[in-house]
Amino acid sequence: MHIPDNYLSPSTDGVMAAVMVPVWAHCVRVVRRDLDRDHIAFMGVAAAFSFLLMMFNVPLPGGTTGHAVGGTLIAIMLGPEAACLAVSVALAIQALVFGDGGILAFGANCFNMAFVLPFVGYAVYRLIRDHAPEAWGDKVGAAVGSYVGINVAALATAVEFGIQPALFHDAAGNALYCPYPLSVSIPAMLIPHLLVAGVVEAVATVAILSFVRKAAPGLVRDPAATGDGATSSAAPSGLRGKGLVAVGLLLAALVVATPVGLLAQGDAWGEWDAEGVAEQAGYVPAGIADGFSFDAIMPDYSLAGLPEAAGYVLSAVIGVAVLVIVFKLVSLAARPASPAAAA
Amino acid sequence: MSEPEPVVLLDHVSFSYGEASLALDDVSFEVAPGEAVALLGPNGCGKSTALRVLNGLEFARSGSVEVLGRRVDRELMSDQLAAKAFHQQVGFVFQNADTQLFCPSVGEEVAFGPRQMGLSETEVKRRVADVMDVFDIAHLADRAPYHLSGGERHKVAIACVVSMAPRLLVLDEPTSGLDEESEDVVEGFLRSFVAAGRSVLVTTHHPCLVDAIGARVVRMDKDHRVVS
Amino acid sequence: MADPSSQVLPDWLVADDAYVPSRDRDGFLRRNVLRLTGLLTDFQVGAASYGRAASPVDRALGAVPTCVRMAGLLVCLVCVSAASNMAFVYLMLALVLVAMASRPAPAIVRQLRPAAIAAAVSALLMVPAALLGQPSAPVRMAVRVLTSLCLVLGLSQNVPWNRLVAALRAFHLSAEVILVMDLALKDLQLLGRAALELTEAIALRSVGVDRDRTASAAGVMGVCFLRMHDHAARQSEAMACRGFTGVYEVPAERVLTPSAIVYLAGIALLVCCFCFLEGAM
Repeated sequence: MHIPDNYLSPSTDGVMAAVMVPVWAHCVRVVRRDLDRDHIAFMGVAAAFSFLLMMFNVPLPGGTTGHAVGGTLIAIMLGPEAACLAVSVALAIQALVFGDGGILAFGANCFNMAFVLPFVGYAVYRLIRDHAPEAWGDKVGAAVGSYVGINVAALATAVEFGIQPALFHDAAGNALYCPYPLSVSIPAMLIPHLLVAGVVEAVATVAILSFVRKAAPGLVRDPAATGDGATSSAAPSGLRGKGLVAVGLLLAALVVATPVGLLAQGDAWGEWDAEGVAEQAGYVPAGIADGFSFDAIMPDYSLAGLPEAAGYVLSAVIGVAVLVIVFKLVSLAARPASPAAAA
Repeated sequence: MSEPEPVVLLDHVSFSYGEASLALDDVSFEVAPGEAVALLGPNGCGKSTALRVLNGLEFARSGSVEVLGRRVDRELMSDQLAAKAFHQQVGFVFQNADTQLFCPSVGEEVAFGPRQMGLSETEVKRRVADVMDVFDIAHLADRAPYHLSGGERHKVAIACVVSMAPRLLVLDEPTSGLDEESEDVVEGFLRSFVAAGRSVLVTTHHPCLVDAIGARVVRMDKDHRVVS
Repeated sequence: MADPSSQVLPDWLVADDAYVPSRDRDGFLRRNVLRLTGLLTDFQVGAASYGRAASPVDRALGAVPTCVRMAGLLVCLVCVSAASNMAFVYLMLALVLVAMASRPAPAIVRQLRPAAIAAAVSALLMVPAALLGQPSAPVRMAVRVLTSLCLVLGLSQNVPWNRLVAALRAFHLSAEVILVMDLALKDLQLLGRAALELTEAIALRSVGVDRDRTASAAGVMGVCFLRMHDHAARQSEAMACRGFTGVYEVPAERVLTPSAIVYLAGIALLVCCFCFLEGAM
């Protein structure tokens, strides 16, 4: 679902970025108000989960690949605003360091995966959880919420792609950017996500959520509470010590398993390079041929001289470590955890 | 008639050096106008830390510190004028007098504060003479502080802050290293200072100082808490 | 001399005039003196956190003899500098980042700040190379510098200086040199602390306009010098009283502990990766 550069017109990129600015500002305000230092530091771990899930490519019908995002997972653990910020930072690192997702298209990618996905997913989760029996409300809510969230995000992405040919074309009628209209982009993106990627997202969300709830319950925010109560009412265990170690081990296991994501061959729909587009559409739209280009340090999670799997694992390690470090540094500006939670 | 506002008010103050070294644990006490209070406790219980927090040299992690009606926090200390006014009103003498004396002679040392306040040379000379007389150190006026004995240095350190006419004296072990005669001089001064309506907060291991200046005792324990 | 039991205090001492201070430009002097003296007390940081290391990585590495760690560090630095294949540098960077991520936030800041500044400066220095046809030169240099500095700071900030100095014995540095270094580092710490306290004392008594600022700063430095001079003399007397006759015994660390063997195996693995990746270029 990562939109590369030059698939959307600069004006589209600009509009999406402009839309995200007030969203980010709101999310920063809410996170500052609701989360204490320990939970903001945990946002780094949550962002790392999202980053790793995005590295596990799954083959989709149609010969393309897709991936889960984990935005709803973070929204359930820490709130949709925290999820928005965590996924945004993960996307930023992917774009700058690994060339996954465009630089100019950053606003659009954040809109889809950091805003639409977690907020829609969380809303559906709350709807189900608040009205269903306690026995299964939480799990089913998480599964359905994350499934709906990723599909709505895929729809948004498809719409952004699909309106390009109609709005931006040259005199001959050739698209300047993404060459596929809505009638192509929507089924191309939605069907694989409805059938496969959405299921993967739901399964990953429920599995990781259950694990974290059991191993480190203090890390998960109580959704019923708001403000101060939100993070200090949870059981004291889990913020330090064994809980965090268990979560760390799960992260490590996922990092080691990332080469599985290399098994799925093919590019994701809409993530082709110029040659890929030429193959698919028969011509290379002018915007894609002559557009903005950026050389990432480790493009496509690989390094010259290293076997592909090793490069993938190394990228995963670096991405996870950088995310944890960034949020630990940010947490210095937050209020300290309440004494009960620190016990 | 309402009770006068306390001169010093520590309210549920906690402080630690770094992340792991707790020095004050939920400490609360106050000093009223015209009162002497003695902070007692074993070594390492946090007495000196409490004085440092009071003087704005460290800042409490939780709780509030009020001195002479003003909250002592980073905001106060970052305001140059407010900080200067504060330090003139609160005379703080460290436990180790060595670290407080930096002028070439005792006379200049005692004159430093009044000169800073912009007083005329005549007034400065008057204050220096008065204070040196009170503490019986007039004969040391031209000596270098560095070459004095430990007890003499301590008296000079107290004289240096008294010359600024503070309203509150905060003294960390004021009679340590003093001979009996010098102890009497300091105790007599502190009694008179309190009798004139000023306030004094001392830390000490000497119970006789507590009796000599009629101080109310606030005791701290090794867990960095106030116990009485 | 006034009667100690009942003193009549001077009228200015008990007057109720409120003092109104005036502004003074003393910030520069005080800030710079404080900065200098504060630097000297930074030695204590590593020592203070040692033994209570919050990071599992530092706890594990703490079990490895310091001389072995210093040797391992040297090998890693040489490999990072010599690597023509950036893959090895990124591998080392990944290890450094994982260790950093396991530390508490203030420790991360302490390690990252100097390393990031140095990396930024080196990237800037390499900009001409980028303009001359090597666009990736600044990034490559920055990553190398960042990795190297993080490796060094990871050791120096988490091991007390006296253990670092003692480890030098294993490299056959003479005991006299170690004695001088030990004493110098200890005295620097004391000096820093003394200067800091003196500067605090000046700050407390600077309640108005300082007409002779340089005199205050000179006073601090002068008193520090006199104190250290005095201290050195008393220290040598104390050492003589405890039987020091000129031979400084530095107890040797046991080098081949189990943790040292594991650590050395790890270093050997890194060297193999280095050779493999260099060969693959």
